Amino acid sequence: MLTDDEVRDLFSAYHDRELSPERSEAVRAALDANPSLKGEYSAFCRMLDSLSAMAAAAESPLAGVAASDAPKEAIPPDLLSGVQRRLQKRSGGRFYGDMWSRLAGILPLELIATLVLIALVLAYAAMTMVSARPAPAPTGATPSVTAPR
Amino acid sequence: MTLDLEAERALVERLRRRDEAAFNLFVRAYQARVFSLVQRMLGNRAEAEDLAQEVFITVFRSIDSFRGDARLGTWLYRVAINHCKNRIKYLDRRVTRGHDALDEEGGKALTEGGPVMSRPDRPDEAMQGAELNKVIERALGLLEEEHRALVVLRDLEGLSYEEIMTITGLPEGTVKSRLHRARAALREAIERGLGYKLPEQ
Repeated sequence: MLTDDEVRDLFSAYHDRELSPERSEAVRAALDANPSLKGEYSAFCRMLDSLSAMAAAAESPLAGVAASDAPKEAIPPDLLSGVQRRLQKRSGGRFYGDMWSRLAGILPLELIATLVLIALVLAYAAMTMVSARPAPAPTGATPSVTAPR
Repeated sequence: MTLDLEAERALVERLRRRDEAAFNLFVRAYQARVFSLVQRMLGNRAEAEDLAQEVFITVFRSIDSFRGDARLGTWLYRVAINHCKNRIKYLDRRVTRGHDALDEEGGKALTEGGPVMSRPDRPDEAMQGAELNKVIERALGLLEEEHRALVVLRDLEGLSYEEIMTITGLPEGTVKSRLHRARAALREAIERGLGYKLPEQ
């Protein structure tokens, strides 16, 4: 039979199911036999549940909707650009020396490509409309018709 | 975002060539995990932002030393944990304004054993959401960095014992016994912060 202190030392391993079946059974029996110790184990589990809940809340996609409710772990928006700046500075401009590589870091390449494509399509459409439009008639002028002699 | 093994190998090859586009991809893929880990270890957002950047810079510089025995993410955790431990030691040596602010808010009460929160009529009322999270975060900050790392890796990041062994370089038995001591220490710190024993249910 395990002593109370021995059981307390096994709380963690018992919770994580890291004990052998025999050891696990001994802990379970000891907890069943001692309501006070069982209460201690429940409190221990509750603390671990709270940690899990805390981790889950920070990862929840809904958690960051409002800035005030944003989880502490929300990624800083300028983390990548900050890394790029530091690398550029510390490498003496050898890395991230050009604007495009940094821009590609801030904006995904797919987004840049889509924006460029949209801009090209709009430019083409504008040019087509301008060339297809008929020339406006001069205002106030009536076409002069000369009768044939 | 989790990369499969093949994609990860290809990414590592590109990182070794110091391919900037690959590095951008790498940072985007892992920044959430790294920042979350660092933030939980340091408990200070500004320090975490700074340190998370340093972690990625270390990876950029030392990717050649990645042998591929472990997954890239596990190796990255190792780099991050080592950075965190060094930063915690540095911050402990240097009394920062942040620590002073924490003391004013109740860190002193925690270390001296006094309750941080007023004792509620019903203890379970204090065990709700944000309030409890604050107490846990403060209690985490009071653990030794080795203990804090184990609790963060296992109970907050949800890593397996095997991954923790790879990250910390500790044998299995040591991880288990230290994790147990870390959890017991955390429980004590939380109860000191609350001013009463954790309720059973």
